Amino acid sequence: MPVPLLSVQGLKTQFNQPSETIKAVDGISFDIAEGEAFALVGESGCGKSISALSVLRLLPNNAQITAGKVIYRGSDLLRMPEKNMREIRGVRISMIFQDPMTSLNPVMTIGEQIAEAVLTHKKSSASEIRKRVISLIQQVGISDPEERYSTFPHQLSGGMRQRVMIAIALANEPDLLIADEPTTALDVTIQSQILQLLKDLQRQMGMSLWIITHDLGIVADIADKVAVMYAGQLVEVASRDDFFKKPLHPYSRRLFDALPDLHKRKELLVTLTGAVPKLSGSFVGCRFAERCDYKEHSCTELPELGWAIFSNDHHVRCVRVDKLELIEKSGNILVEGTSELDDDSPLIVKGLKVYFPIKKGLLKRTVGQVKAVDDVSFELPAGTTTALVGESGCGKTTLGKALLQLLPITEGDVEYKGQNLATLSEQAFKQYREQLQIIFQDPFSSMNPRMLVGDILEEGIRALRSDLTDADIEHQCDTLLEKVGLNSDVRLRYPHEFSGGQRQRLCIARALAVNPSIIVCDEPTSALDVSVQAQVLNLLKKLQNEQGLSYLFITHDLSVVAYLADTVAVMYLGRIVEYGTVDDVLNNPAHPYTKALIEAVPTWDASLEKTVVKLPDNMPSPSNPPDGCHFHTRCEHVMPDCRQIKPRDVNLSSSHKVACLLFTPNDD
Amino acid sequence: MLTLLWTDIAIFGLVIGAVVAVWRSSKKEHLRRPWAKIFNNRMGVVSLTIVLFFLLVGVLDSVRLQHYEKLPDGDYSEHAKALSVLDIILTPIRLQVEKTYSEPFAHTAYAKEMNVDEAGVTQWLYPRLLYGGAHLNNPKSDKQADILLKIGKGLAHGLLAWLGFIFLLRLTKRNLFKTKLKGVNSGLLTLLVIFCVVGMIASLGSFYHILGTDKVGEDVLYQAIKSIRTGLVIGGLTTIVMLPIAIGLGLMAGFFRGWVDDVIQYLYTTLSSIPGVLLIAAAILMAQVYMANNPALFTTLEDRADMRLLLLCFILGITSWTGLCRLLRAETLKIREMDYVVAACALGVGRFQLLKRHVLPNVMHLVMITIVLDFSGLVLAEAVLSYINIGVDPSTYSWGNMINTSRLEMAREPIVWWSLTAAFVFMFTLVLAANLFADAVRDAFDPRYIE
Repeated sequence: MPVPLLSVQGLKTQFNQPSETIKAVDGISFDIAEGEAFALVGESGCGKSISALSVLRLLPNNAQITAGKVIYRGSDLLRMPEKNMREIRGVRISMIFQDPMTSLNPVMTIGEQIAEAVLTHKKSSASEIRKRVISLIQQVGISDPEERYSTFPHQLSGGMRQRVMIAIALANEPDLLIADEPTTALDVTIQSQILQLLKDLQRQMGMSLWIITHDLGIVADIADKVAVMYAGQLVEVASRDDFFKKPLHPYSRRLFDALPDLHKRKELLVTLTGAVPKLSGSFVGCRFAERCDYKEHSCTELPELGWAIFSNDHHVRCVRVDKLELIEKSGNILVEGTSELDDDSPLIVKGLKVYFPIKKGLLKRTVGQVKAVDDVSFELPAGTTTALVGESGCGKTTLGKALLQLLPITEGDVEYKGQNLATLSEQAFKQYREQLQIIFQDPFSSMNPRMLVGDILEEGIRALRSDLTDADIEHQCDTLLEKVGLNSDVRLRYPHEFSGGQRQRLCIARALAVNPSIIVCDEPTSALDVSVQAQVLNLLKKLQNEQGLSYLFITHDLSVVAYLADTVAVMYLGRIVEYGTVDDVLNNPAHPYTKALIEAVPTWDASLEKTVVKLPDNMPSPSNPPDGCHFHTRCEHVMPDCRQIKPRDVNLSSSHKVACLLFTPNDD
Repeated sequence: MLTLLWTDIAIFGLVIGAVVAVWRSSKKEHLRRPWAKIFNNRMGVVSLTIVLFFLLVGVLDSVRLQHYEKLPDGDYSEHAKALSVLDIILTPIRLQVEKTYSEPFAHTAYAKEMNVDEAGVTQWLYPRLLYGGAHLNNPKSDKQADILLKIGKGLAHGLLAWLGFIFLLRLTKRNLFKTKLKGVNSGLLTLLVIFCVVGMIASLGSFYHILGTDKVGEDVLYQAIKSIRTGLVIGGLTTIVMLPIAIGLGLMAGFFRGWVDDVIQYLYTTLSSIPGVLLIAAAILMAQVYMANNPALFTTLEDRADMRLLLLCFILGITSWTGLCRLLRAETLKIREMDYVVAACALGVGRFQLLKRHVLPNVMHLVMITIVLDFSGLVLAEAVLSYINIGVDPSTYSWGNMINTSRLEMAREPIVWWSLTAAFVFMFTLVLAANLFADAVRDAFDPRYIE
């Protein structure tokens, strides 16, 4: 067997805090061979990033590596003097981080920043360095490298910035590139390009790749070998094919089960009960036992679980791995629609426009307009879910907020129960606030950190119904908490004491407090882990069935759309380019943009062989959108007409509309 | 008979307000928790104890009684003099006035004087003080032992008083020592230190000038203690004047934006571009003219001095809100875009409630830090203003006045250092304790803060 490039053996890292010791990484071992792509998968808080930082010895001050070895080309990185380590870090092993916004210095041009990485480690003349930097910029797929040399980070899009980060990491031709959630902050279309870039670079340069992610799709797309991490330990190590063909560890299986998709529409997603155990305690036996459906007495008998070798390179940390096959997967509970709608009036949006004026000069004259939402029409029937899909910056959130009059509407109608909400004054709109509610993306910023949970829940009731007594309100709060699956004793706690998923439940409870019939869900699950996402989606689905709620579900995640939505509207630069039932849009996409979105989603299902449509990474600014069809600058089917004529909606079927010149209206 | 000055009323108002606030918050579970956190923090309890002690001194100094002085012939004078309870407690130090400068614990004056002895021989020597060490026959040899003895006695009295205090506490609260609050013991130990210091001062004070005397022979310790009230008034009242303006305008500017923001920004930019000293000087001079023209309103010297102090607080307050206002505006601009504010809007919460419940609590940490940092700045500002004679009345005891007079003393040869040192030590203790306490409060009231 060849010597691996990097071999991590029994690495243990802990955080020393005054009150407790947190064993973030508790004895992980794995090898990365030369030229191999290794993926470390796990939910947030399981110690993925810390293990990468431990290998590079970039830990914060209160963290300490207590045991283990990291062998790189025969020498142990953990016992190397800092001076030698500096020649490895960023040169032989380099790292890219999740957020390209904060990793670049805003006052330096990108050329200088890449040059800095080259400069630090090689002595050469200025012109040579410049040449090298330009070739690097070219290598990471940025066009016009000469001109880009002197641009500043804020002039680039998120995807471009991540490319620059990769260029910096590649500056010294490393043997190993560690990518810590490299695409989490990016749109799907950009994500697929960055993954493609990483794959290509890896092949060209023969370097190894260590990718840290929570997204199984990315793993399937890029990895050769997969390790699943849970509570500071690895629980399964396998080759990609073995892993996706047959995940063995119960936790890995649950991760797959928790993923929403079209086939699971009629059922509740399988979720994990309980929470990730505290890493400060000590464990007996299997760390997953508490949440495992297959657990038995033997799981917690041994003090420390060993590896079960399933096949040559497929190892599982589970004592009952051979017997799992015999146990039937616990059946999913079917959702039954029980609700009867008291009121089935739909929300009808007609020609909605939300423009933001651009003001300049001393007198603040309006010099232009950002057309965030530009002539959007759709209908949200009662008791159904409409998904609004699109890349970031396309105006999804603006549309959602404008419906609730949280942003002023420039033009257009929002009809509900025979009333045009868009023309109502704030005072007159107040009675409709009960009907329309919103849930936000970030569960951490959507609750006031200095208010008790009880007060947060009561706020809406008190604001909109002054006739209720305190006892009534308290009773209502308890019912709400029960509905979202939380105990009523949480009322006297503060939001920060809850996990992301629990917070999102509280946000849902807050929205439900005033008994709405329509909820705008602004990416409510995109900040959550897969298993927690499943819980929230289940809750939303359950509530819809019980109470006949309608959701306007704003998201960029097509698998969630497939699971939850009834109709889908695809938005691009403020306009809806395609609208139809979930089946129409996802299975028979018509618009080139929709096709690109769908194909950009990484998948592990080998049967769905597909070609990745490369969308150029140059989404135009909504303040200066291109003429004609907004999408023509990135469309591969672009025709001369597209640059001039704004496409009108074409009915493909009674439920499917598309705004594209490729389709000719057949009715007129 | 009680008399009240305007600043006394303000002080009592503040203290009563604070007591009511503490009492009300002790009724609510979620507000009791942060206080438990403070009492769990050793530094928090120690600093709170010290601040409370200073506050006690200030309050004692604000309770004034009509006092008829005893004349040498045994009768009482007809002129009533308003004396505070503190004055009465400090009577020995207050009345033992020497001729001029003397060093701490000195028994002789600081400068030589010409003296004619019984034989008629004129000689330069250090004269004995009237009160300092006057009980000693042979000061050179006995003084050290006497001082140590008196310190020992003071410490013993302090310790006894402390034990008595604890005994009383146990009678009322049996489970005092069983609480898990770490801070309680630290607080009791701080109290022990305070008791011992008070005991030492009590046993030494009537025999020596512990911190020396100033130019007119007045005891510096007495001056420094009397200045506590002035410091608290200037720090406290100015803040009370400044806070509503700063918070109200800052939140409004940040929250409503548009023309409201423009007007408020214009206001504070204008105000902060006028030199503050000019405004203060103008206001104080106007007030002086007013007082001179209306002598009927201000009958006593104390009334006038007090009115000047009150005015100074108002003017300092009106000129010092701009910095905090600017900070709050910026923070509010950020917070109003947070999702929880948008969510509250979607729930139809009114604007006033939005500001009160969502914005204000989230900017309180800024307010707290600014108040405490400003506090020391204000005490110093008072010193600077005294320098150009527009600060507090020269007859008012204040650290500023002490620092101001020590300007000349520092230039003397040999140097007179004790006035400045006394003012410095007292100010330092108060400001440091207030700072540490504010830190503890800020941490305790931030629900996100984890120890």
